[in-house]
Amino acid sequence: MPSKELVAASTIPLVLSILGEKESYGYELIQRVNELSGGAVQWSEGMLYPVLHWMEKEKLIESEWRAAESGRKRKYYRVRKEGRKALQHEKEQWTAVHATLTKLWKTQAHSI
Amino acid sequence: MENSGSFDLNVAIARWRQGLGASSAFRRDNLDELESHLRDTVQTLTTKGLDEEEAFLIAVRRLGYAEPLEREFAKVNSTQVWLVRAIWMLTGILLLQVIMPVARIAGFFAFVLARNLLPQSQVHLHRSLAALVILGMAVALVAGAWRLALRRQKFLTEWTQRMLDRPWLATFGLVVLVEALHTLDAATARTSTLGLRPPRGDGSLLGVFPHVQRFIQSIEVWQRPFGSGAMLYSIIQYGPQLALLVTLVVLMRRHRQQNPSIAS
Repeated sequence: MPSKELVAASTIPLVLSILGEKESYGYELIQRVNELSGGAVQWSEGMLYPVLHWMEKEKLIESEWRAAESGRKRKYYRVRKEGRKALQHEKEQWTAVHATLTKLWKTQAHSI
Repeated sequence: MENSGSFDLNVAIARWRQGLGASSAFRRDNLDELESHLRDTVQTLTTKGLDEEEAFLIAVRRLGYAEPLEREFAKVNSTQVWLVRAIWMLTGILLLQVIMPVARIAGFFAFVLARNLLPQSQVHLHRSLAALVILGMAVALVAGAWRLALRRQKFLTEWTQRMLDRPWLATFGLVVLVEALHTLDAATARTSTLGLRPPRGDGSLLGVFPHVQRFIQSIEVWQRPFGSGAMLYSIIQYGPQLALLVTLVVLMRRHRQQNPSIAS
């Protein structure tokens, strides 16, 4: 399971990536992350919302209350242009770190 | 929740909302969103075979403890947190303006009583007695108001929310109330010719809005040729208070724009 710091750092790229596929609401976002990570990434559920609101304030995403098929209202979030830019930036960073680590671990595997 | 046979999900959710709503860190919109999440979790869990009460308890637990939630939301909603504090400060000022005339009236009666019962010549004794009564009364009233506020917390949170939803009306109401209280205060000061009251100088700490009245008067002075100094003086003296008022209105309006209430 990732450390607290890693979970915190990866929240924004995760949210942006999922919302990049299609708009979604808090509960669904959490379900999706659980599913994709096979339960490895565990979010403290309520804590997602202040993060979403902060991202909205930073104009990375936007939100709208809308009735779902069930008839209940839900707050849907969508990525904005700024958000897509931020995601691109995040991708470069995470890929760079990932590539470096992978290279290292490959050479180490040979040496073992 | 005591007997599981009569568990009502809506009642349980309303109670849970009330608990969180007591904190100024949450906006109504935030609570709506958290409630929506809670209901989604409950729904998922009940389809897996749990009963509503079990599902509710797990859902609340998964959402997180109130304290860390409050801390995180307060970071995003700092404007509201600050605003609610400002409202309570103003309420405190208002309350003192009610309490002081009442205490002063009590002091007046104590003075009259003392003058009739004690030797006529001992004016100092009459006055100290009246002063003691005023002090005691003021302390008792403040303590009483404090206790009442603690007991009626739910009512107070609802009221604060209502004020935040109607910034202009709330501000107008406040000004009218303060003016009324000021008149009452002035009336009691006139009726009690005790000399107990410090002269109402410009340095009065508590009368925030009544100064606006005097500010307007000073503008009239300024229209005369010699009054420009008075105008400058007024701006220096009352400017900060006016600024406070304007800031409050602006913040309340901003808050309202960020907090659209949804029809459930």
